[in-house]
Amino acid sequence: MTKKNTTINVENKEQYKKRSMWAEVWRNYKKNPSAMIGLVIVVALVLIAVFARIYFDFDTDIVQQDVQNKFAHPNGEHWFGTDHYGRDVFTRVLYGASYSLIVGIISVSISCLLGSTLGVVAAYYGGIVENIIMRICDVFVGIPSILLGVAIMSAFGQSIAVLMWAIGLVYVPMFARIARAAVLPVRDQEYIEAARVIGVKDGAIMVKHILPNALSPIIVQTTMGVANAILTASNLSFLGLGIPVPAPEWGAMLSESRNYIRDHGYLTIFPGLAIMITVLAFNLMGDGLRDALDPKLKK
Amino acid sequence: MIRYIVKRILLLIPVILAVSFVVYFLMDLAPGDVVSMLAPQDATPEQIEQLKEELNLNGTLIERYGRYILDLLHGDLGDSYMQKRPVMELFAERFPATFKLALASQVVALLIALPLGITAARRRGTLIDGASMITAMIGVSMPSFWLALLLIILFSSKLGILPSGGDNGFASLIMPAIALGTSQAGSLTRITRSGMLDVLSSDYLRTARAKGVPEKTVIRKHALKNALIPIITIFGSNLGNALGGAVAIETVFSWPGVGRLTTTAVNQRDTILATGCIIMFTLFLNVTLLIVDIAYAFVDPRIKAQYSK
Amino acid sequence: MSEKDLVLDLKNLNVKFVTEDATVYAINGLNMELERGKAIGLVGETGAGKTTTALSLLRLVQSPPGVVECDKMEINGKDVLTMGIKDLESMRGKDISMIFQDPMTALNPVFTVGEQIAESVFLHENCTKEEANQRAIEMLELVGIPGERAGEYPHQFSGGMKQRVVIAIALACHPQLLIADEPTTALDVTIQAQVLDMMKNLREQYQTSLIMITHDLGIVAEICDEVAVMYAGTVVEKGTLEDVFNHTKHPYTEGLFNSLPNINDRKAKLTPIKGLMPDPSNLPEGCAFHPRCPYATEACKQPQHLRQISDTHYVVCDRYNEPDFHIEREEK
Repeated sequence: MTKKNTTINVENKEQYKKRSMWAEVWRNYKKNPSAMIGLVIVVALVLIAVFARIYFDFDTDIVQQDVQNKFAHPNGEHWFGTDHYGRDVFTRVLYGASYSLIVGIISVSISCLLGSTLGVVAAYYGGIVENIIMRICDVFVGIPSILLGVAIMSAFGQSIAVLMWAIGLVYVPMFARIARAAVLPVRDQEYIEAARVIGVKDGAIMVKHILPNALSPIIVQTTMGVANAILTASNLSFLGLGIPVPAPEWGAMLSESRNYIRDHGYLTIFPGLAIMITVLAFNLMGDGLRDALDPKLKK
Repeated sequence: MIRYIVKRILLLIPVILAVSFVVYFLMDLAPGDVVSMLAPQDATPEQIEQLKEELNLNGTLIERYGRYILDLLHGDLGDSYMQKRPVMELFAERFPATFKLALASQVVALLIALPLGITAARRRGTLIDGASMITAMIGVSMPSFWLALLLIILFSSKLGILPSGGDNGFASLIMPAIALGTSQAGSLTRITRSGMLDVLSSDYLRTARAKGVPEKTVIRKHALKNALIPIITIFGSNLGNALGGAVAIETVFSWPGVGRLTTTAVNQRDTILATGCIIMFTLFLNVTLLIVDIAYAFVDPRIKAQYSK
Repeated sequence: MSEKDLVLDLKNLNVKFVTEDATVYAINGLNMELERGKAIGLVGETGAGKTTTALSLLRLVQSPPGVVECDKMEINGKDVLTMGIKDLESMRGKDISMIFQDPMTALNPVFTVGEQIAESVFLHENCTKEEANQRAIEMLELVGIPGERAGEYPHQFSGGMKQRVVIAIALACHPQLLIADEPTTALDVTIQAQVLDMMKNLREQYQTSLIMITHDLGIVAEICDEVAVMYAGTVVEKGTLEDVFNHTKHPYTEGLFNSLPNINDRKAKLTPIKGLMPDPSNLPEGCAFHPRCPYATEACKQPQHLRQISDTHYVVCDRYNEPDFHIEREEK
């Protein structure tokens, strides 16, 4: 390795660097088969969610009851069977992808934005600001996330917006901690001092000089966070505190299926499988990203 | 060491106060007015005021919270609106079942994670390693309540060998513990593996081998005791996850624990019961984390030395 | 040959590490003999394969990726190559033991130093746990640590003390052959002298044969009887102290000496060896040193031969085929 590098002349080296870390990250990522499987599944899920929204009509295809046709076990016409209202489970599972993805992605965006900002601000200013922010985080980390979610959902009522905020808030402290930990070693570096001396504003220093250092762990945490958020959302819906029925949210579908578990077990299998595959895909992606962003850490 | 423990316990107090305030405040926002639910249709304003006082609901939020916290310091969490019994009593009644479940799930998690993680680390880069890691990843990604339902389908509906609900002896504990433990096992396996990998490449294992320690002893004695350190660190947060996850699992298995008590309270708008349960849950979690930290010191003499300073 | 009482007899050792990207040839046809009670210094730059040689003797080269091949490997008269794992385990620590380079990481942080010494004793001597513990305390005192500190953990000791503990572990069962892998590199200069002094005394006391791995020629001069100079996984020159220090033959050995500051002539310029160690996954043809060698000719790109200079002195350099070839340093 070292030998090859020394033979590259200076001009090439410049170009090599400019081709940026992202090309390098992508090259590393591509080499990891399980990460690629994760990516392919996520892309497929997004496409499914978009097309299900366009192709199916919520009122007629998703929630309209057809009681005569209820509990049809999986067959050629209804691949995943029909539920207790005679609704096609396959259609509902496909449509459900959009809920999980929207809730997962938006709630993690909330926690990522709030949490990273808090973490970077805490690390940059230090002292009392840092203390206050991190102690507040400690308090929220101390509450089991599902129970915090339960409390928020019951305070503000069930809706998809509340669900996203509830999950988003639950994971804020985690992002704050990760961002702070990543940024802390940079805080006292001389180039930050230099930027301050030439009069760069605090905000600009944080965005341009400090934040990039926290980018890798934040990206990894965001990807894994989507997986966690989807799990938490389905858990809350399963408890009857997430997206209200009759929306075909996977957790809510599982909750409904419980009543028929003895005779119609297929109702339980498919929505759960959908959750598992989605969560698995994001986890595989996050894992792959971690290895790709920091090959040194790869074990 | 004792000073450290005392300091940690003192630090716990503001956390618990803050947690209780957050939870109290959130549950206070919940829609549905208990007073109008409980008061007779034709109640006079005086009667309503009196009922409010009985339920400790008069005054501003801060006043109410102040009274609540004073009572909490005396171990009184108020009386459940619906069940008309002290919240503390209800919690204490249900808590052992939840604790038993959480602990059993951790045993399951360890039984899966330790062998899997150690084998994966020792066979690093082989097919066995890959398969173990995929298995762990699937475990992490599987919703525990779904696994619970699948277990019921298989062992209760189809095979009829395990009870599908209730808390009646060991057999009824098996499925809830597996359902709850499997998702924990996933993350634990990964931590065991990476901890073990760090240890396996360490110089002191080479020293041990060089003095003729048999390979089995090298792994079981020299490596494992060091690898246990990160495993213990994660144990606390895992137990917290188990307690949180127990909410859904208890619902599935009609397990008479605190999780189900809490969800029932939330659904019935029994806010005082829900608040009390969540606060006690949190208190318990934080005490566990503290105990884990102390246990950590006993495994790692370096940490112990730090604490005693 | 057999009349010599050899504690180590090693013929044609080859070690390579096979990975996806490349095959690294760490040791290439290394021979070594050591008479009982003697001390040999194994000298060379970082990456010359000294530590790998030592680990091969203990059969502790990680495999995969390591592949160890050898024509003969006898330690204390026992054939190490064909030994089963049980015999290997009973040999390690008893017949042969090793002191590692970095005392900071060589001790297990979660066991007391007493336990770590006693473990070795308990494994190899037929004794009870109490006797092993007693021996551990004796060993600690032998290396200059008060016996009552046996119950303390490694982090409670300084670097020099830790190295003493490591030495105590290695000597606990009075091994026939001791390998010391740069035992003083990680220590302060003053502590280095103490530790070396102690090792010298203990060696005389127990008549232990010693392989001293180092890049410090001063240490060799102080402790060893013989020197083997290693370059790119093979021994290029071997002989007594007198042979190698005063009748240097190999250009690389000369380079090593020239890299040392000369206390008598402080104006003299240091002349470092040009270039870097070759990449062991891509070794030069013939003599591996030829790209850096000031005396190199075309012929050096051919496979080289072992040349006997005297009864004890050997060199691998084919320039000596030319009758009047000599290096600058020769015959000081």
